[in-house]
Amino acid sequence: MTQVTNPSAVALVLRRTFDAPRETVFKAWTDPAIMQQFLGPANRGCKNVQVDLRAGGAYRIVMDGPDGEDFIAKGIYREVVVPERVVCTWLWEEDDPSQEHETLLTLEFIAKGNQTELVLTHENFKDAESCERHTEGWMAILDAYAKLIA
Amino acid sequence: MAKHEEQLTAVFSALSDPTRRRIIERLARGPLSVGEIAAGFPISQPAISKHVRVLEESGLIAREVTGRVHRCRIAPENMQAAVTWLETQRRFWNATFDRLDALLTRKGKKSS
Repeated sequence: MTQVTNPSAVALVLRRTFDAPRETVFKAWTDPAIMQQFLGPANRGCKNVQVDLRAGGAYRIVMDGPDGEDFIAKGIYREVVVPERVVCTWLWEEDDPSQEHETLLTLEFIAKGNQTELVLTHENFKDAESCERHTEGWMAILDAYAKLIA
Repeated sequence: MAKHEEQLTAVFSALSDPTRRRIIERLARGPLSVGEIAAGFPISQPAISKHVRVLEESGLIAREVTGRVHRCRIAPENMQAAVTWLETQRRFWNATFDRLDALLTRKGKKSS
């Protein structure tokens, strides 16, 4: 049974069910040759992916950005449990490294027969794991602000 | 970009505390004095004042002084950075999911 991590105060949690077995979906997210075929923003491709898939290993994803400028995402794997779970840091690379903002990305692969549910949690914290975990407050705040901004 | 990141970090850090999130929720309904804010919590006014200061420094709330009364209100423009961050990531991952979905469907058809 895969434990779904509770998100921290400021987290994006997305779920998507893919029509493929868990091993296949896990491989897609961890094999650079496959990652290159789908990772990236809408209407843009991915040029190069490097992956050292182990706790402490690094990855780097070079994507096509607008105006010919590359978008680069990179990070360090914190936890790799084949074919269940990947936890890694996620940073958008900046020219000035002091401006890079470290976030935490957790991918959980849940087998559902021949399908796989992916739960993606993207947390905007340097110390996401030590943060107090609580979603409702955050969502209420966002709602309140969305009303104010509208 | 740099300023945006700094602001984002300050906003997220300020919101990492449950008491501060509750203060924001209360202020979302309308401006309150620090005393009025403190009245809703089982902790001391100095402790609440400290939380209010952190929120103020993050730019999430603003303080208006009329005579001797300090009233706090939320400053939605600074929350926009956090909302934008979430929306940007959401779009990025959904686009990625769509392409993976298409890729897996193609492969499934090929192998069957």
